[in-house]
Amino acid sequence: MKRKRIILIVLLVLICSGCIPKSYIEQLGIITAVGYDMAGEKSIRGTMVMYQFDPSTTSASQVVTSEAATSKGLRFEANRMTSHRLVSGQVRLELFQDQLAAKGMTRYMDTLERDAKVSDMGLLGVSEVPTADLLKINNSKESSNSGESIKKMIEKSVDNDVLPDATIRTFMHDYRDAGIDPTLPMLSSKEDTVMISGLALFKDDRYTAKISPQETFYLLLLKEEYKDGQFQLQLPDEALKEFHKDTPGPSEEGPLHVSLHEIDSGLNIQPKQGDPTEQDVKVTMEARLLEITKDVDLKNKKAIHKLEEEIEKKVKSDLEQFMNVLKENQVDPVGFGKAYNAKNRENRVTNENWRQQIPNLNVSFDVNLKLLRHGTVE
Amino acid sequence: MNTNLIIKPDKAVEAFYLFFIVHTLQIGAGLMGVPRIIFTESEADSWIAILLAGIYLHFVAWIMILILRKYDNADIIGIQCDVFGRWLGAVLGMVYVLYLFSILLSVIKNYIEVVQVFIFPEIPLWLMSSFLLSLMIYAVLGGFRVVVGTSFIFFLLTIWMVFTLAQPISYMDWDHFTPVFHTGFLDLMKGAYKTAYSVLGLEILFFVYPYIKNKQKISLPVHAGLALTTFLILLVTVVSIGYFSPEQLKETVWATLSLFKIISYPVVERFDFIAIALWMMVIIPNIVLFCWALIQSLNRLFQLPEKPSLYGVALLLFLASILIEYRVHIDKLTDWTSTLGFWLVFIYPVILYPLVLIRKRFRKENSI
Amino acid sequence: MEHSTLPLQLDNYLNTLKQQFNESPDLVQKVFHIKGQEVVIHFISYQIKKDRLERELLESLTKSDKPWSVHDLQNKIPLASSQTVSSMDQIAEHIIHGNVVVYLPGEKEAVAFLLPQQQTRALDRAETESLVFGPQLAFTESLVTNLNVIRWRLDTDDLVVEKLIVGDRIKSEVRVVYLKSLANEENVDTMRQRISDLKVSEVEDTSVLGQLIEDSSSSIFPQLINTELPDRFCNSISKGRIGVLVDKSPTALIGPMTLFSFFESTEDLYMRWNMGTFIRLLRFIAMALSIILTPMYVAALTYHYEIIPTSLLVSLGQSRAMVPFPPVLEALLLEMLIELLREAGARLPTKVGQTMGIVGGIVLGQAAVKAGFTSNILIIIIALSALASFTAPSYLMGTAIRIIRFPMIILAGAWGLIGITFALSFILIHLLKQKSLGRPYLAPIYPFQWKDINDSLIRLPFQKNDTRPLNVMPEDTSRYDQLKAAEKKDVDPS
Repeated sequence: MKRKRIILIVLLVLICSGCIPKSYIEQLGIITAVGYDMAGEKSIRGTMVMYQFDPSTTSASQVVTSEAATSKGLRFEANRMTSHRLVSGQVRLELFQDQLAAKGMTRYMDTLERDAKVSDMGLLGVSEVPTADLLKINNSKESSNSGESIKKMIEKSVDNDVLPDATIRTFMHDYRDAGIDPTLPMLSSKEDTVMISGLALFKDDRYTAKISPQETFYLLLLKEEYKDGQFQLQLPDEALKEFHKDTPGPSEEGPLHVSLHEIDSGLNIQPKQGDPTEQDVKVTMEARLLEITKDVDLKNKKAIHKLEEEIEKKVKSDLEQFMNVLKENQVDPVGFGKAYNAKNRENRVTNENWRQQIPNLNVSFDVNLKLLRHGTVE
Repeated sequence: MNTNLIIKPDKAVEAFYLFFIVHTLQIGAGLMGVPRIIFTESEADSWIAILLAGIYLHFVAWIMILILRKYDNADIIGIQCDVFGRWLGAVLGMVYVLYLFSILLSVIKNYIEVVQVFIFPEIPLWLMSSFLLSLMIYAVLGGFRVVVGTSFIFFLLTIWMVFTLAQPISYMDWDHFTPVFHTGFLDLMKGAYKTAYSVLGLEILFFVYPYIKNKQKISLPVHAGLALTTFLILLVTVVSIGYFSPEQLKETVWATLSLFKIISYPVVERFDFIAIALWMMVIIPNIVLFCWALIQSLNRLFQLPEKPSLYGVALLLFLASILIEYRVHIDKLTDWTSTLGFWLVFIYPVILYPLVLIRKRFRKENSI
Repeated sequence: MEHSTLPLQLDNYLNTLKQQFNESPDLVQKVFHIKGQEVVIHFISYQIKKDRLERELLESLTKSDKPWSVHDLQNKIPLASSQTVSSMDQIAEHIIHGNVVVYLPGEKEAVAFLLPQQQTRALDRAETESLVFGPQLAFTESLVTNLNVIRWRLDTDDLVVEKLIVGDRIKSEVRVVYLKSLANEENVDTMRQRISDLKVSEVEDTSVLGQLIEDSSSSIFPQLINTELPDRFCNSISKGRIGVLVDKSPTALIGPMTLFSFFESTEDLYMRWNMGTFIRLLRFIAMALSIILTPMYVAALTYHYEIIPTSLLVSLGQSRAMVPFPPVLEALLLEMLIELLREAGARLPTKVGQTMGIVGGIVLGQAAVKAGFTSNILIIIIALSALASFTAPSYLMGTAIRIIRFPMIILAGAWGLIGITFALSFILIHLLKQKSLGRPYLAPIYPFQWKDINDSLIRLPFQKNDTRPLNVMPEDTSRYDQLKAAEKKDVDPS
């Protein structure tokens, strides 16, 4: 009996003295999105979208802006402006202004990675306009929080194969891995609406160039991340002239556009032994024709073949053009260096030596398209 | 001291449980950080290093079973005294005691460290260690059957976490593994050697053997346990190598736990918090079994009564765990234990076996 | 007492007996003069059946044509149960138990005829362990009736009913029931010995006896099952377990038991196997939820805001912002409220109790949220875990689960997820250490018994379930031949 009493007393003492600082959610300002802007030469401006729960206000989400030299300093500064303790355990979105991103992102992200509280599945993005403006746009009705709606927008685009993966994990992985450079979605605003304007290319962790959504499609194709999505191509006007139907319709004039639904794509990057700058890329696509702006006789097998050939030609030339963009900017978001490393023991690519070799990169493409179906109308 | 032990049948357990005893003892604090340790040495070919270590593991287990089968019902303390004589045997027994104590300490310290880094930076050391030690005392007081039961039940309750790795697996980059055999042989061996700390625990066989009912059947469960351990380490390392870029992995101390960071379910946003808390259930069978072996050896060596020595050991562990505060010291302790463990668990049995054979022959000739 | 042994003369005898009964007004003493012989009859008026006394005893007594002797009394009176007694103490005891004692003054022995009248209720439907599907009968307070029911259900001469007496001051009759060819000898010995070793002045009820003979009385988990269902009792007996009945108690004890048997209901057997398995698994999930849910809420809201899904964060935060207490206190208050409702409902008469439930559940719950006393999500969680805890077929186990929640909530409030894991680990180790009649409590999980998983955690078709639970160590483990049981005897000519 005496022993039981001792155990009880020990337990009570433990409960009383072993307490750890509590973080009740109603006393926290839970940051869900952060935006970083340039404020001056040495300082940055941070915009934090957060939830803070107050019985008196109806809207739970708030936006706070502060200036400091480091990202942790931003939080410290912002803490002086809120009634709630700011915490970063629910951060799901981090946006960087393009000017700031051009100076290198990792110095702001290092704290993200080291802090075990921050989820690796958060999203990253670069913005052409100050992020403060983006995060203060609160036009979305279905989402109570502007950070949340931007996050949903990026997530949707990644799911629909319009953008490559934009998680912190993937960014850090591509940044640290040899022979590949990271990419991030590029955001912009137009008439008080946030929109995805393209894709930001990175040289290591520094933002260098922006590519258009059309070019993003070719990047996705080369990263083999394009599994299920739609794309449009403009072919030469007279490419399919011989197969036009006899009855001339109103659509006879004007450029030839085709719209395709990609069902499956395959990719094979074959670097030359011992030389990372010589690469053969084979792209195979299986697609479904959705739309064609000219009246082509699709019953004709030859017409289909011709169409396939034309598209292949177009894709190939676009890919080559796209490679020139990459070479100009000395970036390798596709991971040609990595592909070489995976197959070669000699002359291995490292983060340092690959950068100089990118302009010498010589990639030959071989595109193979199969148009499997062409809709309900023939 | 008697070489052989006399065990009451109601204290003994079936050989079947050796699978859980061996396996739960091997999987513990080590698994949380093992990918980085092996990867630093063997790079992309770490999986070969692990397989090599696994094969050697089976070999050692085979030798250990051969040694034990030379006696009727002996444990390592008894065997050492039989082979080396009373004094040298006692000294070697003390080495085991020291080893068990330091591995207990390092397991506890490493887990507390993880909790402090991932969940509660502010949780006091003494609180965490008194949690773990009180559970340890409570289980060890229940006797051998409860000790074995702990390892069995807690294994069942934690093994499902393996399946949550499916999410990180979907993020794997297989390019990180090719080209195969890129790493030199020496680095492979180093990687295999570094695997040692994660697979320490095999030595428990030397202690529990007398408590097994059907001794002729022990090979299968022991080897199956070892195979599962090797498989888990292989899985975790392979997933980590694929998931992280090589440079990242070299900097990620607890790669396994970082893998859990991206797992999220509709009801739980961050699975890593649950996983780290649940990891306590992986740790408990560990410390309970090691502590039981420690108490057992003290009892065999010095006839110390079990209850007071249990409290004494717990108190010492408590004090030691409070006194070691710096990360650097924990690393040093882990390294030291790992080196000692390597020699004691992986090399020593191979030396001991011929000695036992010689001793037995010598005996026989003497008796004729 | 000086005149405590027979033979005694009439006056002396009457006086002694009167004193023995503290001059009780209920003691009837009647002296008949039959053929010149004095015959004394004693009984307590309300303890015997008067009509039988008159019809069967007095009639034949008075009709005799020659003087009675002790031998004649035993043989010629048409009553089956008669016994000779020789001391005054014995006479008194028999009278108390509903005997009519006939004494011929001067003789060495008196004769006691058993004509008891017991006030018992008729066999009734089960209340606390009611079944939807299956036998509805429940035990009553009368040992004789209960034994009668058991004999009727277990119609075999293999059934052993051992009689033991417990209690120094107030004696209770205890019966140990088992099947001789099945029950493990060791188990029977343990049970018998534990009961006969008891040194208590009285045993109020079966559940009291159960607590007295349990393996560990400090544990919150019951180790022997207390049931009011004869079908459950007999089902256990037929699997080789041992039952205990106590006179004047409407429940029976069964042992040895395992943790999982507290979640079994005989209903699972009466239903088809897949339904039975589903419902059994549902109960386990319910128990796990019941224990985990509230502590998880407390832990997440006190420490681990990171694990809350983003979609839930806003609604949780907004409802929490109204509440002035920390989550631990909030949860404890609400848990107390539920316990209060349950307790009040149990104490009140059934009709009022139902109103209570509605008032408490709906009105209080709604008002509490409106007044900012608790968050509405917690109300859902608490109600769900309370509901889950009531799914345990054993009332004691359900209560144990509900009580365990309180320390769990406190630990979760103090150390978050670490506290919860600590508590769970502690409970598991505790369960590992428990035993029931010396048999492991956590069987068939530990020690692991593959064949016992069936019919403890799940329930397979009877054709597959060919062994009795091995953890009970029955003398004969096989129930029937699997192949033969599976054989179907169709009359279909094809």
